[in-house]
Amino acid sequence: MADRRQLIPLLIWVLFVALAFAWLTAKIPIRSDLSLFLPVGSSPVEKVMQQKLREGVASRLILIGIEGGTLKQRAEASRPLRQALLKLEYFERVENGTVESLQVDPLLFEYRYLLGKKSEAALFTDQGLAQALDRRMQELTAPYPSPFKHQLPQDPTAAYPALLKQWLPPFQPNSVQGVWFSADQQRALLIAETEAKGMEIDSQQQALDVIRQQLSEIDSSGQLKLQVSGPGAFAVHSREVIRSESTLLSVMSSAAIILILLLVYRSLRITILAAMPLITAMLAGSCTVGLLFGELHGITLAFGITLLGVTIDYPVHLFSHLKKDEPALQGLMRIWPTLRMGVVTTCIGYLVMATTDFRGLSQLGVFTIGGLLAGALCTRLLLPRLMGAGWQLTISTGVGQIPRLSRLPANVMLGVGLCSLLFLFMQPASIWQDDMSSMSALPKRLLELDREMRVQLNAPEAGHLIILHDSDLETVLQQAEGLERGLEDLVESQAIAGFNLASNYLPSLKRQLERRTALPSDAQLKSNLEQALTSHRFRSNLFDPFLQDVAAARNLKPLELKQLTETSVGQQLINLLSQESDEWFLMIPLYGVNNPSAIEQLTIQANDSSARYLQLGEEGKRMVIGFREGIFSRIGWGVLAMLLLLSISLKSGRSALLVLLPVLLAVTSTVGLLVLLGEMLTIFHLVALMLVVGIGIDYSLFFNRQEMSKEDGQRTFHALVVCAISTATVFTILASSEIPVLHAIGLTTAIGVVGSFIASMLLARQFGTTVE
Amino acid sequence: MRSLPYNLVILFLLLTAAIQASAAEWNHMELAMLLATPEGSEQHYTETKELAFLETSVVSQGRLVFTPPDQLVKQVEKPDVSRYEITDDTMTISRPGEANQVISIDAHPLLRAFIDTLRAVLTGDLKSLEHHYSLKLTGTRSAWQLHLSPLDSQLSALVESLIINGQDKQIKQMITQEQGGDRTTLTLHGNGG
Repeated sequence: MADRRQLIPLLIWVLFVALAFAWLTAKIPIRSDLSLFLPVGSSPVEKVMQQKLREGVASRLILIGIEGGTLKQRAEASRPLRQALLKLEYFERVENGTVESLQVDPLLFEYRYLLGKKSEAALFTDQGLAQALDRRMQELTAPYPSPFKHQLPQDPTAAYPALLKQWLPPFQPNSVQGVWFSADQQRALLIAETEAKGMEIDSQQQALDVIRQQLSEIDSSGQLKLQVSGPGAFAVHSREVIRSESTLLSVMSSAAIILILLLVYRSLRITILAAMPLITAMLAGSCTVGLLFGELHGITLAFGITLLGVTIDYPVHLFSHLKKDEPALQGLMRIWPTLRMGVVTTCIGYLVMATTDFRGLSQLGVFTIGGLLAGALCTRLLLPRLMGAGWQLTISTGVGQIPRLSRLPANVMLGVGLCSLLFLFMQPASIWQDDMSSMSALPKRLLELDREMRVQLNAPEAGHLIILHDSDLETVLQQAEGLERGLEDLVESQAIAGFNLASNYLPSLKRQLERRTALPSDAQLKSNLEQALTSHRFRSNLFDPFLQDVAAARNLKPLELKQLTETSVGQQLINLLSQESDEWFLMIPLYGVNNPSAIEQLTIQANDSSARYLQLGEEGKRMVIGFREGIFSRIGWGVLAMLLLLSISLKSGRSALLVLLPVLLAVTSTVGLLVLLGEMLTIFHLVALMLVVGIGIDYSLFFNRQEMSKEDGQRTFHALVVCAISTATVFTILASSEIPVLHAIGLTTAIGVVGSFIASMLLARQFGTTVE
Repeated sequence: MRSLPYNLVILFLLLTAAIQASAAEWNHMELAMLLATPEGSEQHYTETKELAFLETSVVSQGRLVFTPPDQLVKQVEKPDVSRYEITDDTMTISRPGEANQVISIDAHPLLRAFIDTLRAVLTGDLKSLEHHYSLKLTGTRSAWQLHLSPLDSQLSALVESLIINGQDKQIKQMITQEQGGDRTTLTLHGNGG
């Protein structure tokens, strides 16, 4: 009978686990794209910026370096690698400095006089034409072949080559043997633009694998070494690192917990029972996120499982508090009010996280709340039924003794807290690290490599841009043209090294029409040309096609975006323009920025335009700070809500304060200690502090339990010692990680848990809220 | 047995004829050895360009200086002054009153092929010429002609053939026949400072 009473709940639980697992694997996709863990901006400009960050060209670039072997081997691997990659669908564009044999695009050739900057009226005067013909004569008689020779009769002013030159990227890297190389020639360089967005980690992974595989096929010597960098490569690497680290750390943590439980309770069955709330919590957390968000992020899962480690505490409380021969349910009911209050208070802490704009963090909050509630329910409903009556747990008596330490005055703890607060206020510099890179999971070495390759390739830093927007494309293009002179002045004064303007590819209709009107009439051009030809020996009638082309250009309808996007320059243009709902955004990337305030000045002076100067680093910082401040105010509300809830449950505001005080002291001391250790605080430290608050309240509630007998007190102490040791062990393991995020959470929580334990114990005893 | 001396005579005649023939029909190897000059050279030249676009041909004069292993300078003196200097990967163009223009040769495959040809001819590097052209040598040692037809499609789209006329180790003339009828004739006048 006893067996059946235990079997049914066990079967129900197994059924729940199986169903939840099946539903999750079948219906809920696990996302790996990192953008979820970037804060969401609120203004339209912020949104476009983030979209560019996530999907723009900059995010799709893979910087490729070939090292090792001889110079010749590196140069000769670069060419076939480019050819091989271009054949694959993963890449939009692969460049290594090779100049393609010249293809004349008929559409662009036809529109050369409307698109080219160098088609002012002065070009078509007799003097202008004579000068142009001098140039052409020089080219014809040069000791090397001119690729534009065939176009000479149609294009004696070389408007088309000028147009192609106008469209060249602002910078070209160092070239050796016809391919890009670093200045020291040790690294051959290529840039590949992937089809997939930078944050689509699986596709990026495939692209990287393909590059690696192609190079190893080309490199018969096996001496060449591949280096890859860029946002996509970073994302892939982060995922790999987080995955392998999380796996290793969770294996180590699990082993540690199992070992601790076995040592303390000397029972395999108890150890297995202790794991059930944790398993329930993980599945329930995943299901809650799945139901609310329709998807689950891999990082949410990894962090969430860490945060749910607390649910191990629930069965520990139950086991440690059980008296000899006491039915499990009866034992549980003695501690249940305290346990329940702890769970609810902790959930309020995570509610703060769940309501942030940070989609990843809000998933994490929801995950944890769902998990904690389920873990507590499992402890309440399932464990007592499975355990039945007659459990005899051997509690090693040594642990049961409350140490003399507790008689130390609580003033020590108060003093530590106050000192810490004072220390924090006296910090000369900010204790916060607001760089976006603080969110990065990458080792410094990779960031160094990226910076190095970016400099060598003269790739746009993606750090600085001017953004224009309007509902009308024409207006945006005109505004861009309005900025051109100012930007050229900035280049002149070396405030910037270069810029890339969309109107350079697609002039506004207005500008195109201006150029069209400036074209000379047939008779005028003919007479000017005849004048210019007198001093040259070009064959008569040679330039008739030129006269016809100019005449035709005077009747051209201005070129539109749609026509241009289908040409070879279309890709470049698409990267500079984007349409969000009904608004056009035009991005002007800036290169080599030396003087940001001069740029700021320019955008302010352009008062009738929508120009806004964005520094992505600064903007990112601003967003991180804004987000942090948001979290702070939420934490404030969270603490108030906790206080209110505790006051109601404990029926006394003073008791509620007494429960919260040690936790707040522990948090303050933790922050002080972290700063003392030289840690720069990030959002992840804040997240970990929320976890500390949750655990700390739990400890404090148990230490402050009203209805404790002496034996009960010893059992509580035993339970809390086991909880604190296991939690501190798990998070110390996490703190050993090289990944900044894991390290931050681990270190903060480990210190915080120990601090909370000591503070709650000292203060509870000292203020003597009815012990014995 | 009587026929033996007669047969020997025939054999001897055949052999000498063969030897003579091989002496007259001298080969690429010999030309290469002849042309290979370890020291540099400096020569006056006259260049005539006959171009379809122009009413009359263009004649220019100047000096061609080659410094081993790879520096090549074409100094145009008449009718205008300009200077083209080629070292390894770069070509520097200087014209009076203008900023120097530096071009990476390797970035332009066509230019690369063109300059390699010129350099290979001047150093007698027929091996590298054979990579880009099919070669045909005719004439005698004292009046030889090397005919080059491009193998590479990019080059042959522009250049139909190259003809080099020489006497002993001296290149006398290099004719570039472009597709479409344009022709450049470069005549070298031997050493001179």
